[in-house]
Amino acid sequence: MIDVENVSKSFEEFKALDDISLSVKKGTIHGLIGENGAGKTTLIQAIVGIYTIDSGTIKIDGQQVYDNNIIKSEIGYVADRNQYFKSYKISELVEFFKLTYPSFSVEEFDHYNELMKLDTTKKVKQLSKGMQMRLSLILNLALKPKVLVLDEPTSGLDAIVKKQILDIILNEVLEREMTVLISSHHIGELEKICDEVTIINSGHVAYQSTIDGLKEDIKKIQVVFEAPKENLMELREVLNVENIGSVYHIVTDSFNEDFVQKLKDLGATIIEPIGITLEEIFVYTSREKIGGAEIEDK
Amino acid sequence: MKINKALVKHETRNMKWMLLYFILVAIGGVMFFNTVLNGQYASFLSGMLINSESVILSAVNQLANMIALPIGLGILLMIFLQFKDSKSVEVGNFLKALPISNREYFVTKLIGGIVALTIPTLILIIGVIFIRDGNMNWINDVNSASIVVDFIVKSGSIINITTILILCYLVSISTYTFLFMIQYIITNITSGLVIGSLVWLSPLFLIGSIGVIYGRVIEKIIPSDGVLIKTAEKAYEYIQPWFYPSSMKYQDGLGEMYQGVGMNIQFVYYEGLILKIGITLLISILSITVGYVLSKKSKVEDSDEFIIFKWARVVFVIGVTVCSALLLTVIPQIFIGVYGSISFIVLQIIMLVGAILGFVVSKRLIRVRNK
Repeated sequence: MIDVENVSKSFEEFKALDDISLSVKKGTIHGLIGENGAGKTTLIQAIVGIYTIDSGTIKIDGQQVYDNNIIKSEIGYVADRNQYFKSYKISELVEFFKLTYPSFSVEEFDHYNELMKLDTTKKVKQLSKGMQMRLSLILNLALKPKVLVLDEPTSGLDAIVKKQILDIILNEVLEREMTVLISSHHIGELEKICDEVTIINSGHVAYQSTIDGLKEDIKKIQVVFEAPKENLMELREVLNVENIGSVYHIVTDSFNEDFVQKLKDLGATIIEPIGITLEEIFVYTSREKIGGAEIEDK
Repeated sequence: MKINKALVKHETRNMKWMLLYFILVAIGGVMFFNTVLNGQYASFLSGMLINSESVILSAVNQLANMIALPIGLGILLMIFLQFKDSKSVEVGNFLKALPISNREYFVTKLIGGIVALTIPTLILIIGVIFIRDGNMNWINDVNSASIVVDFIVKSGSIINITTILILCYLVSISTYTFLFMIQYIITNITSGLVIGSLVWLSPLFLIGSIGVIYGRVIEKIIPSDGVLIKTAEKAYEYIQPWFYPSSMKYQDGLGEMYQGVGMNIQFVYYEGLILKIGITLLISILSITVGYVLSKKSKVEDSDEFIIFKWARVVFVIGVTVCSALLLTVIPQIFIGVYGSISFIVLQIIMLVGAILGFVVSKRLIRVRNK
């Protein structure tokens, strides 16, 4: 549904996106993770047709997005900050969306607003950050998009509303096969709802896989050594090491027989995989990225 | 041609206030025209009226001068309101993500602005004609007493005053479209309005200052009554559209015979109305065409550049360099009056210093980033 191929984008000397490729299948939720300044928002803004790109292609449903009103009318975009006309009342903004998007449904908006409880007589500038995010979310859901692109959509939302919104999105994906691209720093949330995840680092794609696939690639293992080891980080396969006494928690992207043998050679007595969260994967892979180019080769 | 209804509604929010403003200016203009004619009537009753110029034409000229400033200020305000949303980074991103093309934004804004200037003009023209008709009884008496009756009647005819008011309207349209086009070159709205206005007024400064600086040299080379000088003077009148509404010509008609006595009278008239209308139309069409092309090329990511296009930066640097060179050289002549005591070579050195200053300042300006 969303096909990004070899996309690069620079702002003068700064290369915000460097040969990025990613693919989002129809009816799936795709998470975009990266540090601040990694290029997530630039990529999202290029995908929704705000930015031009220097090279590569971005297609949604097989069509180029930039300056393509037909495909843009099928994309919902929730930005990380309020972006609407501040002097508009909510009801006027609803009217604006209704006239702009053929698929926009006022009934849907009213339905979602029963949950969000926004006073439609209020002006946009009178709304708090959280209220503005609620407004943006339900406006974009009410236009029944084929593709919903969300940039930090849960920032400023309380836990109850956050859950309600994520439930609505999951429901839309199940019922209408809506495709969702979501960027968030709340990686725990992404882990719960995403089918696939792309980790971006310094304008590059570091990893792109399903959550399970990522957890297959990046493993956390518990290793007990007979004597303390201080040089484990020097191993090419190791992304992170933490220890309490002789019990070591090692994060690796190469958990295979060779690595197990290597650990045994170093004196490991017990080696067993333990659970790893998406957040840990992000943290350790990003840390490695800063340190060297090893993961970039993947 | 597809126009987005939401966009039309959005533009109408701002434009309705501007429309109201321009209508008030037009109504004010009609009232002013009526007041001028009332004053003329009082002069007529007291026998103080000069009957060698058209009463109507004189009143229209005063009207054109009176409304020029409020219309000019209104145009600046209108452009500010039209671009304040789309030039804010956040709202600009929102607008760019919408299924609305650059062409639709351009056309909707432009039509909105032109409508806001056109409706009041119609009110002004109808009002002026109405007031004129109400005063024709005594004006006919004045006209019939003139020795150049045909000329005066023609000057004050409905066709002539309508043509003059249409010229005033087209001057405002050409000013508006020019400043509108500049907004697609300079990202900061206020800077765009200031620089655009200076460029719009610049022909007067450029030619005037060259005349002041090189006048004596030119006089020595080219005779003042030569064709070249006369053509230059003529061109000088035509390259400043904003000056058209107030540029009535006074021509002496020496030795006209009136009741057997030779009289010195003045013919007062607007020269080259049709040509001036053509020039303003041409400027408007050019501004719209260039603006349209630039709007299609405009990108959100350029919003932090002071001047978007490279060629425009070059033009800006050249323009500022030339103008500051002339300004620094012409200042002694205007304010100190020491031109006569400054040698030609010193004058050229001052000009070079001005050019260097202008070049440095303009180079720094184009590196300014919008926050």
